[in-house]
Amino acid sequence: MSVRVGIVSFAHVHSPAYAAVLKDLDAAHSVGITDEDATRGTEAAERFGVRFFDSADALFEETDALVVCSENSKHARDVVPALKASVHVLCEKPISTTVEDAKAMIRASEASGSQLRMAFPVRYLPSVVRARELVRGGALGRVLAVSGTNYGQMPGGWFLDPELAGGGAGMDHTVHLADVLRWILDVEVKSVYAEVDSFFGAGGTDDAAILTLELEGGPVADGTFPTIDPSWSRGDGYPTWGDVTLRIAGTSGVLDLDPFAQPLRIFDHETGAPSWTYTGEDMNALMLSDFLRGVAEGKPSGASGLDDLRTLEVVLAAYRSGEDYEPKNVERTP
Amino acid sequence: MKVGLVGAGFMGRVHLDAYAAIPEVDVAGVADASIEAAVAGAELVGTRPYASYEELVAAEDIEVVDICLPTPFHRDLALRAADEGRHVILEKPIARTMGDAQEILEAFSGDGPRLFVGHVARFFPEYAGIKEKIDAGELGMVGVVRTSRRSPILLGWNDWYADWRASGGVLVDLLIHDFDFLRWALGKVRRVYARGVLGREYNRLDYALITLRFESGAIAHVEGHWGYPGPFNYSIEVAGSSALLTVDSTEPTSLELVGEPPVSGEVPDLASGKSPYEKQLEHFIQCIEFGEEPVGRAQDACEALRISLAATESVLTGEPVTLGGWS
Repeated sequence: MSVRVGIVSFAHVHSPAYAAVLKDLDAAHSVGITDEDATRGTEAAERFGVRFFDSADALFEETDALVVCSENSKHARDVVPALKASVHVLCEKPISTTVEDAKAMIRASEASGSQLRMAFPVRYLPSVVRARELVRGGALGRVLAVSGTNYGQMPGGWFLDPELAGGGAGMDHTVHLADVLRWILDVEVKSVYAEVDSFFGAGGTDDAAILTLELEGGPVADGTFPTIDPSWSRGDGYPTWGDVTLRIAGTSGVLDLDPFAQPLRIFDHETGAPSWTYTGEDMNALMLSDFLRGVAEGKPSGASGLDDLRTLEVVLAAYRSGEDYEPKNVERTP
Repeated sequence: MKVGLVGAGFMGRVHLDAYAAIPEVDVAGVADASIEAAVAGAELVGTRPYASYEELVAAEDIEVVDICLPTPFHRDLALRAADEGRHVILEKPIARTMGDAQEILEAFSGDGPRLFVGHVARFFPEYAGIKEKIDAGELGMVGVVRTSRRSPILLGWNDWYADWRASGGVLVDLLIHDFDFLRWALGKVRRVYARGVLGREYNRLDYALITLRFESGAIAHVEGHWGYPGPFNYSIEVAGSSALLTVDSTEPTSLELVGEPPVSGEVPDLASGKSPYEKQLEHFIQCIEFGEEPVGRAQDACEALRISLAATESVLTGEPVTLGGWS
């Protein structure tokens, strides 16, 4: 049985990739797209050969599940009515720009029984899954520290608007690493120290940061100190979009995780610019398949709304630390 | 120029190898409390071994004392050599404590003998190249810098490297290279936040991650690992507003030999005409000969130690440390 699925908003840069995967998956029946920007939505609908819906409610009626790709601050506005209309939702990260919005989304899911899952595709990459098994199996002994990067190019557009995005690189990229850290090590983040600034052209919002985390709990991660570098430090001259890397140092070994390090290196005679093309598994296909399976079977897996609320709280603590250069406790919402 | 080397351990032998290639230098003797080490060191340059500094300076006319002793012994010998009017080349770190470092600095502050501290990273072609690119503005405004330095832990005299009180661990003995380089390339450090295990909790293992904030605004993330279970390696990445620069010692160099066991320790093989140690020691000797200022002054070595100790304090307190009182 295929799940009837739609997409709400093409604001986020990831939405075309999701639409392309959904068109290909046997488990999905792509119904349509709605977008408050009708021009953008109509163009996307034409491109992917699906219907454009000018009302979200109309799309809810014809779908079992939705992928929400609106701007970060609009997630609650788009997700809560869908959940209330008994439509399951996979929401782009970060869950929202405020704890209140995130809680409203989680409550709506609990009240309606509709699934709220978060788009953390990195969890699905085979090397990440294997790293988790190795670390939890004790291959590194006790984990002393983790040094993580999630680099990218400055995305521009609404990502630079603090109202819509809730922050810059710190908001956009920290959550991926915070999620993977929580998932691999089975820990919560207790406090954060962060140096935050702007160097790479993001203007009024942050495009560079180094976060140092203090963790709570976890049998393999007692006293572990991770750092996260979410900077948009890759420019146009970089041969690929960026990376996600984790270097995990333990008492009996070091694990270097670089799941996108499977490139074809191409040196184009015309442009003179090198480019790397990734040849590994499509993490979006793995994530969307799992979401659809969860919907079909009524057994959700992957990252939950609460998982992403926990990563949002880390980001908010980092921004507070960045203001006065003191470590800040992560205020964990009950 | 007549040089006497004291301390023929790992770093002493590296210096002796470098001196062998510098024609201006006559290594007049090698002293080590272990006479076997002194003999082995002396053989490297065809000179005479001595069982102590006293015997060395009694028998030879030493103008420059090269001190490669464990860090806690730097102060006493440096002060004594200064007293005797001899120039000193001191392996990094200048000392284990700021108090010792300042006493050493003070002893060489006059017009008499001169002091040079071996911060050899400044003589590695890649690091010198990065500094040049930054100074020339080719990277634009420097934003985020990431460095990594990982090494098997050395087995020194009495295993002193593994004794945190003696060596200061990875923050003081190993990462001082990166702190000195970063301060050279980016200017003064405003704030230090660090986490680490301080080489105390584990046997022969130390690991630290440090965030530095510079007066320029730049942010640096520094990784250090002692007891790394692979060959020595380092990397640095400088992300500027107009370019990104990366160096990684694990990438192939101009000359690669496969089949030998991997080289351990802190001295990688470089396919340059002169080793960084040779360049450094030659530079110091020339500074003495011609009265020139070195690329890295003893004061700089003192400030690099200040960063190492601030990182140590941050690990101990869990708080960021703001640096002040810069010269």
